[in-house]
Amino acid sequence: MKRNTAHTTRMRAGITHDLNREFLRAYPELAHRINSARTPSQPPEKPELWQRLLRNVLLIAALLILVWLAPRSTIGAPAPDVQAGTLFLQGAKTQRALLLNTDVAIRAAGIQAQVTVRQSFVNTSDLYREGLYTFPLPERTAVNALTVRVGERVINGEIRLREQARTTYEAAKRDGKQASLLEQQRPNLFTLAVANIAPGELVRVEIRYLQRLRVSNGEYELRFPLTLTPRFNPPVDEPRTVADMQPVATPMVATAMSTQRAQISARIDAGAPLQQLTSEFHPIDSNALPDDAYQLTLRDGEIPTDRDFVLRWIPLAGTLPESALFREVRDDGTYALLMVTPPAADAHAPLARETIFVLDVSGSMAGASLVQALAALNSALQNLRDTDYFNIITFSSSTRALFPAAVPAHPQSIAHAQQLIGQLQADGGTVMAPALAMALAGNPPLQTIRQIVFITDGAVSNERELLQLIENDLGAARLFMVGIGSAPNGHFMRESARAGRGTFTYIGDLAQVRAKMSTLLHKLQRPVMSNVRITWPPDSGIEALPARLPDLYAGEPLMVSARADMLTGSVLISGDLAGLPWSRTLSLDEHRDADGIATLWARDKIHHLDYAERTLDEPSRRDIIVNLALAHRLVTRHTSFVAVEEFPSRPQNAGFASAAIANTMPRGNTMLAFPAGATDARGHVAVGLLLLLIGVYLRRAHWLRHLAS
Amino acid sequence: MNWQRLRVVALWTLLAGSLWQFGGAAFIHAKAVLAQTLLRDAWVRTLHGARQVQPWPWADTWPVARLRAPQHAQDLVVLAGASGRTLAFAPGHLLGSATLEQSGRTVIAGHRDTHFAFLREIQPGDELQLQDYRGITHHFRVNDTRIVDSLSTQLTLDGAKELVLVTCYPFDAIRAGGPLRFLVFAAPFEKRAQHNSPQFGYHRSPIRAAARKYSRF
Repeated sequence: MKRNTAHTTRMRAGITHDLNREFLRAYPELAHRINSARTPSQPPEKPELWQRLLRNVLLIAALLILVWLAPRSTIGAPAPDVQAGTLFLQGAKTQRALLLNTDVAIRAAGIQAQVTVRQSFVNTSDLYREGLYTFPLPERTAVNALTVRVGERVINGEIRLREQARTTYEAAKRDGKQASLLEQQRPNLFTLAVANIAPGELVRVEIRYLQRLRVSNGEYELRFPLTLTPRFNPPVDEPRTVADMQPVATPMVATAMSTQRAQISARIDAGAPLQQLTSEFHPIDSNALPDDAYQLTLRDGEIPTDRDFVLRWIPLAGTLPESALFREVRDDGTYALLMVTPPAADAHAPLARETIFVLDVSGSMAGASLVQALAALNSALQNLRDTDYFNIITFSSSTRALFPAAVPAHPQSIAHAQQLIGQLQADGGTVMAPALAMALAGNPPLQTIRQIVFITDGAVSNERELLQLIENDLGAARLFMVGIGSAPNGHFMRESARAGRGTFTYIGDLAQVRAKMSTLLHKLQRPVMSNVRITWPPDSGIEALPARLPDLYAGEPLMVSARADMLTGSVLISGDLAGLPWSRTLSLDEHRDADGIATLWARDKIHHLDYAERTLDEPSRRDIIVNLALAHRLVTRHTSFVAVEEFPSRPQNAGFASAAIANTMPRGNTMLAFPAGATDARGHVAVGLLLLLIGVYLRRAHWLRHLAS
Repeated sequence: MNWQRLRVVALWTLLAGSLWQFGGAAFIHAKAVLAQTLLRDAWVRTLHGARQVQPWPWADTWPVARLRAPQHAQDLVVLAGASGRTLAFAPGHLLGSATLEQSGRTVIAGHRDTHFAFLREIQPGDELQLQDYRGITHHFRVNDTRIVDSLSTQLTLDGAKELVLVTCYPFDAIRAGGPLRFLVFAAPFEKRAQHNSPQFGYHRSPIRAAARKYSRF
């Protein structure tokens, strides 16, 4: 066997040799070249050398281009069975079955807005159907009414315990009755289910909610979210039950396929003439009404639901008082909403501050997250004033501080910091505690307030320990959390921001890291008032929220909602304005009566119980929430609206199907993209082979000579 | 003479460059293979109740499951997250897609030329097994494979329990970063007699054996 192999090898070698000779015989020119290469006494003529060089270069270039193009053409060619859009976008099918139209009526008055959303479901199939729809609302809205209209019939929703409401709905669905269920999934996400829509029937579901307007720098903002932003892992707000941990996912349809449209009308009554009224994305027409109110309509009549509707207005300067008190009297007490705008920031030098940036540079921050965070950090550094102090702490598996302690923001120290920023690389794990402890350690310089800006995208497992650390060591500092990407621990971030008396900024879209961080950092530049206190008249049985008053920043009004048994006399608001004591007394008798103040207070109270109140255990917290929700007819995580028709409308033997209604994909969104799944290994091999090939090509004469000999 | 020297230099440069490239490729594959060894250890500790076990001290991820394909002799530890950094070491579970305890789609991504190279041979009917951190094995059967354009297709994550494996397509493309993805869909099924599968059974699994060994300490 062995001998046999050896024999074959020898034979093969012989054949190769013969082939070479034959090859050279067949190509006499090549043989001549080899021979001439063998005799160096005959140097090649100069033009021939250049020709050869040119030929070599051209050949190599051609080879390079070929290899470069090869994979491109493979990728570029459409695969035979690519069916974009039909695979996952369940919308295409469900849309046909249930069309949806949204009609929104907004009534803004003072600092709150009452919004009525009418959604129409048309069943174009020939089966009885159930419509399921997930929709977003601004956070901390008070959803307080549900009405279902089928033809001429009107069914009013009742507020019930969540489980009870669900049981009622399921029973009605089985019995063939028209029914509707409105549940809260997250504080800003609700689901609506409508059962037993007859073939060809139109069902109108009307939801009403109250929300407080955002006020900043004298500008009012109202946002109506028209679609869900797809999030791989939205920060979980209430991870107290397993159900809350479930990802909320709904089918999405691309804009071009969507048949969803929304009509929006709004009435703005700011209590004063407006200086400016703008819609951010959608053109509008506005009419001034006699009593300083404005009526708005969409210029295009209706709009596709692919981006939020945002309205902003500024009352004419000097027409509104700097502080306002809104009141609602009910049987169970007096409710009030107090808004105080601190004196304009320009009149007073802002407080000096010590800003400590704590930046996560663990491996997961690599790429866009880190680049954008650094860009925002860089511009924040440039905006520091001479009186400010700062420091930068970076952490991954280990913690590093730029300076041993915060230093004055002199040009040299800023230049030093910028140098560090230029060198930062993301690598390693996420170990937060030492960085947090380092940021909280020591005392800020005299006459300054300490701000800690904590930027991370990481998951943490030792939440309790970290929260304890914040609560023990916070002192007078303020902690601002910034969560980037699909940060799995939004709950922790929110809790630490609350414990740290600061804010939590969540940045889900990596493209927005810089913009959102800049907004926060810009706000932090102008702290106006600290140690804000409110002294209510004694014996009024007052319950005011928020319990811990935040610092005020330029342009931000102080908003306090309260419930009292009796509300007369005056209230004293005091604080440190640019380091000096400041106070103002307001008479409680000068008020504007407004509906909805009580509802908004209840909503604030529920929010407070959900997040801030930690002395109560979960069952007693739940009891209070349920009582409040039932008294004020609010949808919460423990209570839902259910509307059930008295008599069945679906014959027992008729078929029934369920359809999820797709939300429109937000414009410009790429977040539900697939992960990439290839390494550069093949590329490396290809380039390596190519280089080797070029080498072989250049040495070919040498080798051929060897073979020939 | 000068010309000759230039030629020699060029040749050596080419050879060095070529070796450098081969080394780069070898490094990628070595990383993919070696990491799995380290990950097994982290997985054993996970099965023993430790959570978010960092396979190496500077890691920013942790094992979340173990994926096996008996017909293809594949046994891989799956990491949390499907970023490029994670996928170099192991297939990654897409954050936000369903975990094994939840309903909905569980999405696991891997590199088409390392861990998920075997997807090229996968056929409907093939079995896939996922072991979760409690040690429970979930059985899936491949029912479909698809090629989609990632630029115009999205993944919805709700619905019934389903396993989706994602890798790049085409398998032979030389350059990474193309838009096409190869998807494998597998539906769960109940497998009653777990111990009857000798190679990959619950009891004879090498990891289980190792786990028992570790538990003595």
